[in-house]
Amino acid sequence: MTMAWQLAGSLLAIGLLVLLAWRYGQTGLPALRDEVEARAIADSIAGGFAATSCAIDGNGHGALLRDSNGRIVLVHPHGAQFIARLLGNATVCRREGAMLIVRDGNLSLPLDLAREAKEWEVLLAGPGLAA
Amino acid sequence: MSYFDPLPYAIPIFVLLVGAEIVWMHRGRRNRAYEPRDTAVSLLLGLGSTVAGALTAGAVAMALGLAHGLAPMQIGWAWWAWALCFVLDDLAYYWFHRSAHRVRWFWASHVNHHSSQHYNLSTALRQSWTGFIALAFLFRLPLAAIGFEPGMILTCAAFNLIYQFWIHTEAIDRLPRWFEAVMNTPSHHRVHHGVNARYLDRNYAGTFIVWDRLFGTFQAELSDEPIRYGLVRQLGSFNLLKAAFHEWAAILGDVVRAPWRHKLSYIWREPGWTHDGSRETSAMIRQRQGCERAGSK
Repeated sequence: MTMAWQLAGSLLAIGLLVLLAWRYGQTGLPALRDEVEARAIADSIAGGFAATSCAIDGNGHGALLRDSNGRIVLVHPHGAQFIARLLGNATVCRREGAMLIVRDGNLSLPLDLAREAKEWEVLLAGPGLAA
Repeated sequence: MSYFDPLPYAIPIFVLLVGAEIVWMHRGRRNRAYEPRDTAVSLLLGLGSTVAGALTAGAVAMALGLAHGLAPMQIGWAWWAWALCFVLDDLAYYWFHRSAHRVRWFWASHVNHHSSQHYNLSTALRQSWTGFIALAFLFRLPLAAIGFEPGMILTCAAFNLIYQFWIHTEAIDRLPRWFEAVMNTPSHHRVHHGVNARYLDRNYAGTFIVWDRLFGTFQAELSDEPIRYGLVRQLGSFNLLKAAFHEWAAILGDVVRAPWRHKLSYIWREPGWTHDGSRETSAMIRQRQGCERAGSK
């Protein structure tokens, strides 16, 4: 019985702390500080990634980076942080003006790349992506 | 066997301090320190860990009792025995923790403590559900085998765990030099949770950082290299069960797929090891980034 009460009390405390985190923590999409941060996150993929070009979403909600071998990494939000994903042949993208919508598996991320959107659309359709 | 377990008394204080840190970080305009789904996963992993610990406590106590039965002497309950037991238990923790990062079987249990990309007091509670399966208690058996009382070992271990709670924070910068030299601190432990190549597999200490300085695994926090937290290959999910079991599932998949002569290596070798070199270990990442052998300062 004591164990059951302890469990109930713990669940209640967890609920209250999560509510507090929801009220005072970050709930919206995070923003990249700068290109340095985007490059560091991209470099975290297996084997590393030395980006030669980088395009950051206008609001900082994601980025596309390309290396000298033509590989492309998508930096996308996960909660209040970012993670990197190496894009492959299964990646599809669609451009709507300055917006490039990148889809890879269960992930779909709209990126406002302004004038660079068209250039990255071409790069994402070209050879060099991971098999 | 009965022993004093301070954890039930500490948990309400943990809850209050996590709440205070959330508000503190908000007031300091550092809202990004907490994300509600990440916090929920951390706290539920902590709750599950206490349940798993309660279910396996009897078996751990029995193992300690059996080891104690083989001891050539009985150290007893003298005051100095408590102090010595705490220090030696912390040394045992250092080697457990080091193994937990270097042997994939142990890592599968420990990985969930590192799977958050945040570093806050709730991360401290992100504890394993599978520590017993990973045989973490084996590292404490030598203490019982040399004559320390099992109850004393368990109490010291609990105090060690409590000490490690407060060092999981970005709210405290650096502490006085003498303290940083001897004790594990928020600064030292931030390094341990970093995925930057320079910070990988450093600072395994529980309470006393001197073990890292002694065994060559110490790395100071560098002001020009901001820490990125989490895993080398980020989990990218807020699924509680995935957080608790993903590495066990990955081991199983690797063992099933591997050629026969490599199957065991996927269990006992370091995380990231593959027979075909398709992934990277921490040592390989450190070497690629030019920081192998550059850890100690």
